[in-house]
Amino acid sequence: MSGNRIDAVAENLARRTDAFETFEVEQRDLTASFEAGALRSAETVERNGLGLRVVVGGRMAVGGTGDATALARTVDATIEAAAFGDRCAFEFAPQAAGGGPACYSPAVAEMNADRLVAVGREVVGRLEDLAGDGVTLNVRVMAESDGMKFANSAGQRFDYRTTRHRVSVSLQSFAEGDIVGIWESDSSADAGIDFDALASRVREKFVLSRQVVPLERTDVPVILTPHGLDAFLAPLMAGLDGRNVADGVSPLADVLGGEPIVDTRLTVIDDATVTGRPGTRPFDDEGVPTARTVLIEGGCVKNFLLDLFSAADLGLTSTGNAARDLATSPAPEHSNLVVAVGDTPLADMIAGVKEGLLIDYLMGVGQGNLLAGDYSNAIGLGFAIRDGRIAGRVKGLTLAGNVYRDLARVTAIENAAHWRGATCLPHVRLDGLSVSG
Amino acid sequence: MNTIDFQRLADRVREAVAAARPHVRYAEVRLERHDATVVRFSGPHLDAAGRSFDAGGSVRVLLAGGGWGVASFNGLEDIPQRIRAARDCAAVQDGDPLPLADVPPTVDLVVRHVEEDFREVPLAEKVERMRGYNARLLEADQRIVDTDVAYADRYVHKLLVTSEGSCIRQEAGYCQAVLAASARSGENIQRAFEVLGDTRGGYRNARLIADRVDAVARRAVELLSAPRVRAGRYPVVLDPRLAGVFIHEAFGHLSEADHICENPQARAMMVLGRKFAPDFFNVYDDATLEGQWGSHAYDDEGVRAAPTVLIAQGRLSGRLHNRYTAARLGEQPTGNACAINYQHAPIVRMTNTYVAPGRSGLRDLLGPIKEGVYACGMFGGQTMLEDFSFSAAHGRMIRNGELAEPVRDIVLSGNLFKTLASITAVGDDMQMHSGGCGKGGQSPKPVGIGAPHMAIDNVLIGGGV
Repeated sequence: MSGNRIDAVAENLARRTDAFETFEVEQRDLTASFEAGALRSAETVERNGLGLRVVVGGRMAVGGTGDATALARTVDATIEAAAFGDRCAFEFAPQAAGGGPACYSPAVAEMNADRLVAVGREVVGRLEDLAGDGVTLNVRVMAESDGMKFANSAGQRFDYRTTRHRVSVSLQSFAEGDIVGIWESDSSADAGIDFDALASRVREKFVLSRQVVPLERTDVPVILTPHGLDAFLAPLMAGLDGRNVADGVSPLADVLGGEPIVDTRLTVIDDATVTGRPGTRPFDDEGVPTARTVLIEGGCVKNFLLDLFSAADLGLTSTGNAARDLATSPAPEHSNLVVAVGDTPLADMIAGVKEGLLIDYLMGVGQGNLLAGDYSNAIGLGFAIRDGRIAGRVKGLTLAGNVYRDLARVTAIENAAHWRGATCLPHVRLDGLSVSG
Repeated sequence: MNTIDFQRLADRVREAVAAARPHVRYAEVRLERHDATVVRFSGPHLDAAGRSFDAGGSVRVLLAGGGWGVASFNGLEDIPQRIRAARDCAAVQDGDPLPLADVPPTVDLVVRHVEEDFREVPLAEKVERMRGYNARLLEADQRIVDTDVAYADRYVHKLLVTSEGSCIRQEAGYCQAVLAASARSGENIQRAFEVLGDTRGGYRNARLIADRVDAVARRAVELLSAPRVRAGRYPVVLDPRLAGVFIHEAFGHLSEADHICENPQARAMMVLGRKFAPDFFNVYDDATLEGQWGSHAYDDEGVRAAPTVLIAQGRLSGRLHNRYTAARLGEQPTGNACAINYQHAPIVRMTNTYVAPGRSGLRDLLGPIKEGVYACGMFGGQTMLEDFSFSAAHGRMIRNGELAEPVRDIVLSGNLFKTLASITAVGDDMQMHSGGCGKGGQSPKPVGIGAPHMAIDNVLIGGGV
C-alpha cells in the first residue's frame, strides 16, 4: 500500500466522523519447509490491509479490508454501521511517544529463500542422525517483516517496522503401540536464534522419550517445564483479561490489590518493552504506548491486561495491550510473558523428587471452563522422575484441578527462566495435584 | 464482484498461466473474493456490526526439480508478477521432483444454492435479530452475567486455473450463528453455548437458532449446581455432537495421509484392511453432502469431491489425500486438499467426517451401564498423533441404565487404537453439526462433524478429586 493511503483515509474520516482510528498493516512472510529432512516448499505471503474504527453520532463501528479496490466501500460501510453501534464511552489515544522499542533487524528483513533454506539445512544437519525408519524430522524456518502505520483523531500518529525469525522442529516417531511427537520452536526479532540450544532440547526430549515407563502412584509432585507452565497459565491469563473483568466473568475482578490468589513467590509480568522479543513493539493496536506491566506480584493481582474500552469501563488506564485484526474490535492480549525466577536450581528440583512427574505439554488447553480456573488436560508429553532422575516417558495420564488452587501449591521455582519466543518462564514444582490414568 | 467480472478475471488468469506454462512443470493460480458480515454482542455491548470485503490469491509452482514455490497475496492484480514470485521460491529447490497424482483437467462453474440469500438481508435486520436473542439470554436468569451472541455470513467466490487446463469457479455462502451464556454464582462461573451453521440455509440459520436461546440459558444455570465429574475410567455414551468431535479427533486426523506418507513405519501401521474397531463401525469423509459446513464441489487442487470410506466394518479402508500424498502412496486423490483462505497453500483436510448410523436406540446404549457418564455437546478437542483429548459441554451420570445427576468438566482422553477398539455400540440417530478444525496454522477450517449416539467402554475422564 502506498505511503499516502493512510493520510488520505484519515483526511476523509476527519470530515465524516466525530472521532476515528485508522491503521495500515504490511506483512511479508517467507517460509522454507522441510519434511522428512527434505526441502518441500518455499512460500512467500504478502498481506496488506487497512482497518478503521469510527465514532459517528457518538456510536462506534469497526471495519477493514485487504482489498485495495474495496477501500472506499469499506469506509462507507463502516460509517453506515456506526448507526447500530454502541455508544463510545472512552477517548482514543492521545499523541505520545512509544513505550517499547521497535525491533527491526535488517538481517531478518533481507533474508531470502536461499538463506532460509540454508538455515533449515543447518538445523536438519544437527538432528538427522535421529531420523530413521520410524522417525520423521520436519523443520520450518520463517522470516517475517511487518509494518504498522497508525493515525487517529486525537493526534496520535506513528509508523514502525518489526521483524521476526522463527524456527520450529518436530520429530515424530511411529512404532506399533507407540506414536510420539516432540515439538520445539524458538523465535526472535533478530537473527540470533541459538540453533545449538534448540537442537539440544529436541535431542534431549527425544532421547528421554524413547523409554516408556509406568507411573506407580498418582499423588506425586509435578514439575512443569516452561512449556508446560505456559499452558498451565492459560486460565490465569483469561482471568486477567480486562474484557473478562469488565464483563463480570473473571474470578479476579474483586481481588485487584488484595490478598494473594496464588503462591506468594509468584510474580507474573507482561512486558512489551524487552529488546528482541516477538511480543515487543512501541505501541499497541490502539496507539497506546506499550509498557512493562506487573500482573501478579507476591501472589497478588496488581494489574489487569487492558485496552481502552476495558480500562474506561473499570476506571483504570489502558496498559497498552490492545490487539486487533483488520476488521475486528481491539481486545487485550498479552505481549511477552515473564514469570520471575525463584531460588532452586533445576538439577536440585529434579534430584529432590523421589517419585514424580515432569510435564512438558498439556493437551486441549483452552478447551474447557477457562474462566473458573478449572482445567483437565491429558498429558501430551510427560516424564516420570524416580529417585531424582528422569526415568522415561509416561503415557495415558491426565492432570486436573483448579489453577488458582494449584498455583497455591508451589513448592519450588527454578532459579533461572528461559526465553522461548514470547515467554520467559522457569520450571515450577507443584505438590498435591490430581493425576489420573 | 459479479459473475461477469469474475469471468473476465478468469480469462486474464488463463492468459497469465498459459504464458508461464513453458517455464514450469506445473502452475496453479487460486483467487478468492470474500464478502462477509459479522454481528457480535458481548454482554450488553455490541462488539462488531458490519460488512467486510476481502480478496486475494495464492500461486503454486513446480519446476523441473524439487518441491513447491508458493506466493500468496492481497488483491487480484499483477498475476504475472505473482507467478514470477512463486517461480522464484520454487527455484531455490533442487532434488527429486515432487510427484503429483493425475487429475483430469476440468472446466466448471458451480454456484451452490443458498435458500435465503443473506446478501439481500439488510444489516439492520441482522443486528436487531441478534440483539433480541442477546437480550433474551441476558434476561433469562439473574445469574446470567455475560453472553456472546454472534452472527457471521460469508459469500465466497473462488477461481482455480492450472497449467494442465483446469479452470474451476465456485461460489458458496456460509452462514453461522453462535449463542453463548455465562452464569455465575460466587466464584463459580459456567458457560453454555450452541452453534448452528451450514452452506445451504443462508439467513434461515439465523432464524432457526431462535429455538435454542432458552436452552442455552437453562444449561448455563444448571451447570452452576452440577458437581465436577469424579476422575476415573468409565463406560461412556456420547451424544451425536460429541461423538462427531470424538471421531474427528480420535481418527480423522490420523486418516490425513500427510501425517503418515513420509514415514515407512507409519505407513506399515496404517495399512488398508487393518482392524481398528468393531464390525458395526463405519466412518466416511464426504464433501459432496448437500449444504454441510465442510462441503465443496472441488477441492483447492481442482479435484472433484467424492465420498471416501475411511473405516468399513471396522477396517481401515481409505485415507484423505492431496495430489502429492496420493502419488506418494500410489493411491487416488480424494478431493481433500483445502486452504482456509487465499493466504495459505492447500493441505490435506477433513471435509464432513461422520460415523454412519447403526441400529441401536439411545435406551439400548444406556441400558447395560451400571455406572457411567453421558457426555454431551463439546467445548473442543485436540489430537496429538495417537493421543486425543476432547471436552464435553455438559453431561450426566448414568446409573443402572438410566440418566442420573448432571455433572460437569467432563474431559475425555485416550489412545486412538485402544479407544476405537472399545466402541461397544452405535446409535441410529446420526446428526451432522458444524465445527472448526485447526491444522498447520490454518484455523478454523469449516468442517462437518457427524455421528449418532455412541457407547465406548473404559474411557479415561479427568476431573476433580
